[in-house]
Amino acid sequence: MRLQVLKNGYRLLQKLQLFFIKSMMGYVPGPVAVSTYRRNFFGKHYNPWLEQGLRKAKHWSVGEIELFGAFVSKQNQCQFCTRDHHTMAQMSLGIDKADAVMQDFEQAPIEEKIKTVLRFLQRLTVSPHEISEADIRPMKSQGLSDEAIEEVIHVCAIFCVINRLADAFDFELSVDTHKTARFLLKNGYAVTSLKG
Amino acid sequence: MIQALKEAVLGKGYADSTLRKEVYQKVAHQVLSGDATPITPTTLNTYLEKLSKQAYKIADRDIDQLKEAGFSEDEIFELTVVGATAAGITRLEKGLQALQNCQ
Repeated sequence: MRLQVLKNGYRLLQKLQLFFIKSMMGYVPGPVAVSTYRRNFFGKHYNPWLEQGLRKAKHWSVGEIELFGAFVSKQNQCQFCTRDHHTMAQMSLGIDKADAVMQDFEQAPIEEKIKTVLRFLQRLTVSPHEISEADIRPMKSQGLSDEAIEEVIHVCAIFCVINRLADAFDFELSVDTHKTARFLLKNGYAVTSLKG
Repeated sequence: MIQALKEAVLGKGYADSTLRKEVYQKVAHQVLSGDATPITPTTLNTYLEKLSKQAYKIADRDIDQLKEAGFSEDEIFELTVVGATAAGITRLEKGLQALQNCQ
């Protein structure tokens, strides 16, 4: 972590909770640190978006959402987020499927509907200024509803925030990515901004 | 929810509120047009260019340079959060606009 305030700038109750997390996980995950530090400035507002977008989507499974998140993180070349969310996608969808998408999604044995979404996510992440209705049309042609497409757009936006924070602040890589993945699959993201 | 996030990062803070708004607008403009608009000081401009387009290239020296330019850790925290938030929310708005236009 590049900022000292993200290592030790917490209130007493937050420090106790972070101590407990470190004992349990072996490290303090960067998203917890950044969402907890001065939480009224960022975490209090970002984390409900995170929980809503990644755990309360109506049209996609948790595994598909995590795969989209890992894919966006890979486009942003964010090692921290790619690693943990790829693991969650592996645990939810199967290792072969998740790995095939992350290596070369065009050749992966997945539905055309998912490939269409991944093409869109790639463009919205890397070339957002070029996005137009022409990028939406292929997803609609695959039968995706406006609500399903909206959910995909939110996932992209959520990860474009946290990927930048992970790289700028230099989040520590998880000690055991499966442990982190299991925790997030079980508990979701609302718990990652600590009150105090 | 999204509006509350935007208002929070542009609201009360240690870094000058005008500067935070400039940072948000710079990153948003880059997302929408692909072009960079300069911001002062130069050190902050260089940092934001990386944050916006190639955050994975940010290194310890970028943070050190911001500190040498007089920014405190809290200001660096805020300006980074503002830039990252702008990168996400502007993509959200751009994507939703395209969806709305595709009726």
